[in-house]
Amino acid sequence: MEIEIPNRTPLVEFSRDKMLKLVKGFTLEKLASFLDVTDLNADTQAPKMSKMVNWAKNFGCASVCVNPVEGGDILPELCKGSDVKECYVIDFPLGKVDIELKAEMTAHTVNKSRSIRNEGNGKIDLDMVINVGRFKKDPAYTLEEINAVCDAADGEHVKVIVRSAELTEKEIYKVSEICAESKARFIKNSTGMDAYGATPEHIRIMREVVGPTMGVKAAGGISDVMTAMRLFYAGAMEEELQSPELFRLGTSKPLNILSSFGWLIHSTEDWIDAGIIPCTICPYHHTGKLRVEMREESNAKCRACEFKEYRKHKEF
Amino acid sequence: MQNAGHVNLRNTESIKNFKIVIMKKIKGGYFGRLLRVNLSNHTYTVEEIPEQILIDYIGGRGLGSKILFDEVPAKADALGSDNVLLFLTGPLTGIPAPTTSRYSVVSKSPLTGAIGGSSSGGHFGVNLKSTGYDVLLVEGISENPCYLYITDQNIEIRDAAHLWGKNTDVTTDTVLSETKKNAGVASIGPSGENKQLIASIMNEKNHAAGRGGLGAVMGSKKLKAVVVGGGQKTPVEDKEIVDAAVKNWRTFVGEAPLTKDVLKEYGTPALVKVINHYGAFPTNNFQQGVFNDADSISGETFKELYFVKRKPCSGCPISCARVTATPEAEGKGPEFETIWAYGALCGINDLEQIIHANYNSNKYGFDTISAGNAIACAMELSEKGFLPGETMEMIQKDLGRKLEFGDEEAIVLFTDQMGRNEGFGKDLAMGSAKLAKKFGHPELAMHVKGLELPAYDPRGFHGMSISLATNNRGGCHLRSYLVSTEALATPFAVNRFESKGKPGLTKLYQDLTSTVDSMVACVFTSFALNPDLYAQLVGSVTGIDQDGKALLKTGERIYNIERLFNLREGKSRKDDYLPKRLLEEPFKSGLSKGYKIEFEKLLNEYYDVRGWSKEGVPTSEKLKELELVNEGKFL
Repeated sequence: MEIEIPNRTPLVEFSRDKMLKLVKGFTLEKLASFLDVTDLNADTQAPKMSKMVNWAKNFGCASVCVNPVEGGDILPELCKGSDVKECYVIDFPLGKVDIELKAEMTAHTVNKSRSIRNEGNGKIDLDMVINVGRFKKDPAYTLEEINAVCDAADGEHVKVIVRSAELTEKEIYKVSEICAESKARFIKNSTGMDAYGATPEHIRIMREVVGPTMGVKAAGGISDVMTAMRLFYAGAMEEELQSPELFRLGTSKPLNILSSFGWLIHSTEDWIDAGIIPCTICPYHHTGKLRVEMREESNAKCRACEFKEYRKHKEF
Repeated sequence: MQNAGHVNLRNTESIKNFKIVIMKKIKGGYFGRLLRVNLSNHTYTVEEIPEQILIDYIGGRGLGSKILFDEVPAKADALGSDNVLLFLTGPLTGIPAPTTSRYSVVSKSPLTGAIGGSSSGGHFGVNLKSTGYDVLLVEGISENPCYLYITDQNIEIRDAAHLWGKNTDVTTDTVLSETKKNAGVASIGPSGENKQLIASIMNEKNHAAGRGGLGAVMGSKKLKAVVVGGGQKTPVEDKEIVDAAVKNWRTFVGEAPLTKDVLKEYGTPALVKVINHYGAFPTNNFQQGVFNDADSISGETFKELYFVKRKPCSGCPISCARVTATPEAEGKGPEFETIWAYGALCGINDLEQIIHANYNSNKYGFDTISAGNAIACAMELSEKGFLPGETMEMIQKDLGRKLEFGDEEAIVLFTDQMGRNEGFGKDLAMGSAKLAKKFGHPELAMHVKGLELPAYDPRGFHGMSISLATNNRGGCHLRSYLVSTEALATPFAVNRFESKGKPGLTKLYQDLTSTVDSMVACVFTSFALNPDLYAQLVGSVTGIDQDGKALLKTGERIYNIERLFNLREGKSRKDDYLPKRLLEEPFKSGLSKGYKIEFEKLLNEYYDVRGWSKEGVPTSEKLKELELVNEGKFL
């Protein structure tokens, strides 16, 4: 059945009352519990991972997310004895290996971690990248790919990175449906290395499609609390969704997010009133970096947008 | 330590048996002692600072404001014997936390007639603290030029006849050779000696307590320098608790992008391209918001061509300060504001000449923001034909041509003339407000309360409009740096053209900065920290348990006592305005093109948020809430 896409302004404006209620419902500890402390740079080594694990332990973050090649031997030891989960990316960042190999990578990562940490199951998250090119041609392949990784994960939580910056709006709806249909636990928008990162609009679409029982993880460019709150607004506004089992934020700047929370709790109303330039958080303003079909879609959206006066500020 | 020809001050008590003032609630961070030096009669006293005053005003700027309010009579001549000059440390001075080697200077400003104050990095602050005094208060006027040499064992007033007329480099080297090699030195150059209204106090040669002309106050007292250094350690009761809080600070400062990467890599000049990109980089005396040659004076160009090495303030991990060199000279800086003031503001794209103008300013000891504004104002006066014939002739004779925007030789010539107090430099050194008034066009001076505006055009940052207009010391960016959120997305981004919320955020930044200046730390730490983290460290040192909210209340008290000082001096709503140009002439190009500031609305809302009347006077309820009823009795 053809997906019905609502004709609406992207989520770049937020109800003052709802946002106020959302912020007031947070404490530093609660905010920290949603964070996957992440560093996926090519040169991330043990000292940095040790630092990240310490932050996660001190503030009570959900997990520490690294590349399994660098972190597979180190992270289980560092996390041992704590509630901090290990999070590994699979086939990162392009998702271009075939299904069997992806499953093999997953099983290898899970087994290695379990044998070192030796604290039983349920201590690992696996953030897999789908093959976006194949998805565009053959969505069924994507479902198969996700389920193969989930099977190999042996019950550990799998998050599916769909790279929404590479997808048209229609494709985002479609891939969200596939994720909801799959055995995966979370849908995740970005690798953090795509054309742009998390936008409230994409997170809203994902939450709407996958419903309230599947997790949504926002990642890419989340380095302050206000950005985080907009993503909560889009993907976890309802209290029952405000659980690390159902919502996560991937960030390489956890301390920034937590420190900026210490600003937001003072003069909260003023911060909310001061707003944000809409285009800076809109997925349709990155035209220069996009594929042709998406550029056309973005331009059309901009032409119809009530905030188009701000478009000249798109480079912010 | 006494040299022939120098005298120990007559004292009213012995300082040989050094002891810390014992306090009931405060556990550390202070010696509880104020050193009062009277230059008229060459006496000193050591006074206990009441504990409650320290709790209510913290130290540094806050404590200085309270003392100034109590000590200086209304309408006193800022350059007369009734004004006092305060050098202050805070409870964090001497604690190994990032950026806490600073000190504050507070006095009535001769430039604005309002409360004046500045803080400065380097290592003068820690050296002052090591003498065992939290505060040095200088009163009276010396008959002859002198300098003070203060240790924890001795206080001397020394003859400075041989230093009078010397620049700050020579002065610093000379007094260090006459006292102690690693002492801290704050001095004035010829600009301060000549009581120029834009004179700075310079420490360690190149660090400036720059704004508001406090160097002129020092000059009016014939005090050439203050040399400090002792062996006292800042008292700390529970080192473990303090160490943990310091570690926490270091972690946050070490990880925030601005303090970890940007400032370290490029120093403050990194801002040139950012602010210019936003179309809010005041150019040609605030006539435009985009400087087309910004690349020539950017942080990248600065680093590529003139950077020698970093030279951080004591123990500071941010390391924004830079040693620089050109083929002709070597020195420190310039900072972003200076590059802008002598650069874009004057239409100048020659970074080398900007650097030379900066070196001149440091040696002669005057404020580069004020000086650059004055030159830019003169350029516009000249281009528009508003300068009288004899002034034009004088400029023609010295410069060799008519003064116009973009003339890089002019900034070097006139900064030199200002320092020497000769030629057209004499007029420029009055500051732009008096300069423009003298030549009949006050509307061309870009200032608030007499203090020249900094490098962020409020037409591009609407929150900065209310911030610049209402800051107690005048047109200053540092007392509430909303640019942080409006331009640098720190702690997070807001809509820079939005009016809603900005009065409240201005108050938040003003109150918090009041406390940061009082503890005394660098405002750059606010790129990484928040009110609660500040409260945590100060509390760990002083033993006064408080959260961010309580700290902000203290900041509000400090802000209001400064306001009371200004009101007592006759300042009012009329002084909380921006220059007409900024309110009535939207930009015609760039990313801030066409936006107009809703200023009256912002100002009214700001007064409401502050609990002030429509005239900008704190209400009796507000004074009661802040325990300032006695101070507000004159209203």
